[in-house]
Amino acid sequence: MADAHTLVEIRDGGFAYKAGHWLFHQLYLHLEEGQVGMILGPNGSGKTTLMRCLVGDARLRAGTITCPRRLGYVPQTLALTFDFAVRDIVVMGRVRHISLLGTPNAEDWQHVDRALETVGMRAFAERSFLSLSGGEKQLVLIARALAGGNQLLLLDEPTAALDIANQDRVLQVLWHLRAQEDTTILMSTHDPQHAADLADVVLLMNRDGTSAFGPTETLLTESKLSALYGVPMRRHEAAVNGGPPHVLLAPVSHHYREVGVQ
Amino acid sequence: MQFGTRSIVFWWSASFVLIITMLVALSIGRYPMAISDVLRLLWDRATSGDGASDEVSRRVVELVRTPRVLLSSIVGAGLGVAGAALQGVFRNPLVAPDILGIAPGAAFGGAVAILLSGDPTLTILSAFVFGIVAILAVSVIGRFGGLGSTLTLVLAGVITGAFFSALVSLTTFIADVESELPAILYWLLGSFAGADFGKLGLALATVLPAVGLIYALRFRINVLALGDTEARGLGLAVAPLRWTVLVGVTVIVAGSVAVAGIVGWIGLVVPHLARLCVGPDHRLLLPASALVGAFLLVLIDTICRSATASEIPLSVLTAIVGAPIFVMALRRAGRLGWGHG
Repeated sequence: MADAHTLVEIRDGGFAYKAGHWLFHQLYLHLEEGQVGMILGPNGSGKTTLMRCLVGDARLRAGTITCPRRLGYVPQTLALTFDFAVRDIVVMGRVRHISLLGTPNAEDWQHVDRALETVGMRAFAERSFLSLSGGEKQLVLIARALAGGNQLLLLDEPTAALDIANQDRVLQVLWHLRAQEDTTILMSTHDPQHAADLADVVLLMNRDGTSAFGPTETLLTESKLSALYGVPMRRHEAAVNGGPPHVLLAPVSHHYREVGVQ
Repeated sequence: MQFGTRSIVFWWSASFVLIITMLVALSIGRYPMAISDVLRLLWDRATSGDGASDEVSRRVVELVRTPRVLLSSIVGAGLGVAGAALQGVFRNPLVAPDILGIAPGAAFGGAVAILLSGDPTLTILSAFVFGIVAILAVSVIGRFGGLGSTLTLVLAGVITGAFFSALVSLTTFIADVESELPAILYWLLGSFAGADFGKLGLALATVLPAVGLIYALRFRINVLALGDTEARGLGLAVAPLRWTVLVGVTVIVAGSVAVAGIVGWIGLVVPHLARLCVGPDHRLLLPASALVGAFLLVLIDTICRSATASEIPLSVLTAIVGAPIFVMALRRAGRLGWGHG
């Protein structure tokens, strides 16, 4: 049974778009309050579908799911038909707190300002959302999730479309949220280094529908990651600036030169 | 607000322009009057004074032009709001009541009633009922599509619209050329020629509550304009909200069709004009669409009744005015990258 500190738990979770063809099955995931969890896996392993199950946009075909109803979902991108201002986007995160026929009040706008402050985007409040860069958009979407006063932040590959500087900005904000605000975060990512840097627990989702869940240090091994991505992965430990040893994960450079096109 | 200062200028100038347009509309016509005379008449009426205005001008302004100008402004405002709300909840700047099948449904209802009895009350009621039938049909067909997505619903609307348009054509085919056909054609092309205080009352009774309902939901329409998955992720009950707005829109359209027949294009182009002025936030866009819609329809109706000796059908002019505006909107759409969402 899930104890009092458990925020998210999936037991024996399975999902199939077509009966018998499991996208994933017997999946286990357990996240406690204040923890950061990351979901790793190649394209098509079901990361986004799992996210949709957590949001309530899709339903598991097997197993049980525990997830707070009040969660802030941060999509990869936001395809806007109408070009809203940043403030107006962020205040939409408050919709749960606003009565059916109501509009945002002073308190809602305070939450908006605070959330924009947290992600360092206060100065952009009046700008049009479509005029922002990819990294700025991502930060605004995180602010929107924060403005809702949610128990859980759920991010779908928040760094997927960003250059290295913007990835750094987003990770910095997530690190701050984890360290200062005790925010519980669950996100999917393509970069195992992000998991090594930030995650307490990781879920590895394989293409064959199997998955592995556990503490970051036990799962982010060379053999497990190499099997996950089908590419040889290296793990180094190095002290950065004289600090404690830091895990560095990367695919083996240039291995494809030896392999050739198969 | 990014549109802050611009929108203050907009509210004042748009309200001013609307009032001036309505006054000019009251003075123009087969029996022309100076605007000062119109103002004196209105002042006399308001103060119950016995001014120097002559009986003919008083009757023309009070009984003929006032209901007509008020009716066209109410219908214009209603259709503007209906279009803006539809474009919001379908996250699609190219939808309108005509495209979603509501207007053709209501038109069929009206045409059938003219064919069967010609009783005005029945005509209005029938337009109402078939507007609702059309939107129910859209819902059923949309469910066959399975996904319940906005695209499925828009396609279901197009199908329903085409079906009812065909039925309308059938009624014109069956109709008696001497007596019924002119009435039906008049109805299908739209006109405020029969405006009176009874119709004004009906328009107020339908359009006002529905506009009020839609306006009350303005913030939630914003959220829905992000898309279904997004809105659901933020905790919004997507389907009930969309259907509530659709019912409101149907009431507006059925009411307008009942008093003026089919008025095309207004619901499609007015939201685009309003969006250019105040931006996409429905808290501003809905009232702006009401103002712009009222202005545009009063203007077009005045041209319809005074440009030539006989009245030009309303939808002819709304299309002639609307098409270029829509081209402008499409250009803008290309720039914003619509159609990739």
